[in-house]
Amino acid sequence: MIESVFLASAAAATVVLAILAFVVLPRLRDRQTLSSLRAFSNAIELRFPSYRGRSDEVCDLAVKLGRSRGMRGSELRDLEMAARLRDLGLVGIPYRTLNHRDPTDWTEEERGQHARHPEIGAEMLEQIESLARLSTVVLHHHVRFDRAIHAPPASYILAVVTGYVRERGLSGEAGAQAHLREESGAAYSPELVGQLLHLVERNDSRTHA
Amino acid sequence: MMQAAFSRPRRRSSAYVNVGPLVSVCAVLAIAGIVLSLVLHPIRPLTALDFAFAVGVIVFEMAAVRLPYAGIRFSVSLPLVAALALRVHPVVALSAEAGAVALAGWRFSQSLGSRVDGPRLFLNILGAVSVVSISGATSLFFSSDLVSSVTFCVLAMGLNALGARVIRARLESHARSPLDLLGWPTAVLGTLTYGFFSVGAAWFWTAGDVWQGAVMLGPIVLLAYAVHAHGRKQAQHQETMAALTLMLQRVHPYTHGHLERVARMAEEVGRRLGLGPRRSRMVRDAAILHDIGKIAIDEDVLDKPGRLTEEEFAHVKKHAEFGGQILEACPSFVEISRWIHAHHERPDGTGYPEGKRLDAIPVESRIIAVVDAFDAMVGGVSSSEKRGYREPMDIESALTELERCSGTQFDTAVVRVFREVIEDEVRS
Repeated sequence: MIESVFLASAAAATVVLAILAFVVLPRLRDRQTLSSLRAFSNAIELRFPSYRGRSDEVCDLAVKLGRSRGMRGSELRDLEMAARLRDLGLVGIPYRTLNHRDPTDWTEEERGQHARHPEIGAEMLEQIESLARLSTVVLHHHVRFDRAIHAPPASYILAVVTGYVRERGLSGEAGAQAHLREESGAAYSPELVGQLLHLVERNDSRTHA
Repeated sequence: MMQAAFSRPRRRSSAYVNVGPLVSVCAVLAIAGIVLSLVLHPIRPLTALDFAFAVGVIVFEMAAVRLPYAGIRFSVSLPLVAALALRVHPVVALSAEAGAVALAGWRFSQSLGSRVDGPRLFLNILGAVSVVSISGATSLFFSSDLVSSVTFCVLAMGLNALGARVIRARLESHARSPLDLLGWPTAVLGTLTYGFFSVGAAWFWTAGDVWQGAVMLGPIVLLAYAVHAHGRKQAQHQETMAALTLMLQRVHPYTHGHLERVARMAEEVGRRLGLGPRRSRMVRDAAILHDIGKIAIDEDVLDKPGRLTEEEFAHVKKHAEFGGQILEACPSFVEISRWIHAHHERPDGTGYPEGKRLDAIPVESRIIAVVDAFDAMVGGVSSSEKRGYREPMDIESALTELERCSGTQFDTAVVRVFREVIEDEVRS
């Protein structure tokens, strides 16, 4: 009699705890991870208001692009995290440089500082154990397709998406798409350009429908 | 066996003098238990299964869940130790446990790359030995296998918890109790589950039913995994804080060590004001992050040597609400974000950003305000307002200044408790 009580409750407890340990808790932790990364992008966007909203846009598009390329699960999650963290290194740039000065007026030094932000971001990420694996993606998130560097696939995705979002801010939707076509094969991989254009055109027609 | 307080004591030599009596008590108990159990019952012959249990004790002890931020180690070897004690003899069980704890402790030091802390390890081993010895001896008084199992497990878990608490108090370490960490419902439920299935496993194994006993391990192992997952969540929380402070360091370099000490004092103030252990720990986190909003402030203005203009000052004041905005997106920092938002409010209503009065300001914010001002005066981070305090003050002058501004800039009660904390800190 008592034996069956023990065995039955062990079976039940195992099932419940297994669901807790392998389904519920990981999902909670992932949600916590992603929302805590917002703290970093919030900090950057508060420091440099011209970047406001950009993090959400890039994140959104990068994930869509990744998914359409067949990325799933932890790979897709890492892409999303890297998208949130990519501009961490911008804290190294003086406040006035990005807020009070026109980029076209920048000195050599200021240009260099801005160019180094992926490096600085990667350096910072390496010091954090749970984020260190993303440092390579962040290091190369402005990688050019025509440079023979072995960057992770996620970096190429981030490069094309950030380029598109930036251009859209400067010269509108049409200008951004033109920029993509222009740089296809140069700054961005033709395959990614094609897929991204397909994605945004689909979005476009959806909003206009 | 279940948990061991392993974090380093704050003051080495005197702390180990403190545990002298504890060592004697444990030794006496251990010897009494061993002698009694040998008198009560001879050692039964060991079978292959028993060797397997002994190996299992070692494996489970080595695979203990470590919660570094809490300074405790959590192993679930109880069912196996109980089986050995009941099937063979408590003496055999405590030998296996002693070896396992020693090995695990040695390996832990190896993984940290540091030398083994002999006295601390010895204390942990002795504690484990005395727990098994007393529980084993007591359980030998009963003829029913089930009653013996229950006795052993309940005693072992109880003595273990008691021992860990005593060690924590004696070593004055910063180790936390599991109750503290997990909250009452989770801790109680977890303990009951662990105890229930340990009894089941020991009972089945004493009767020779190997597989039924093994089934009992299912929930126990999963429980340990869940504790481990909780540990990872906490570690991530700490890492987010570390990353944010890294960002702030890049913009506005400051001495982090000083901030850590100040944060610990804030936690102590919170505790003495009756905030409870969990909330006080959050106050500590808030104290570490309170100036995080400065990431979004022009560093040239922050570091400007002279007086600030109206406009510049208004800009700098934004760091309080920026701090709140940065953190409010994270679920584990939401409450802290509210405290940081209000950490420059003043009881007399002349603070910012909203000019709230005493009761509308969270007590946690009032604690941070005091701690922040003290930190600035004594020569830490240069606070945005305290430009007059360029020359670092000595502790007494800073405390006097805090008292002078009690009621207006600072909460009187908080200042009073803060003085007590500082004086205790200085005295030690």
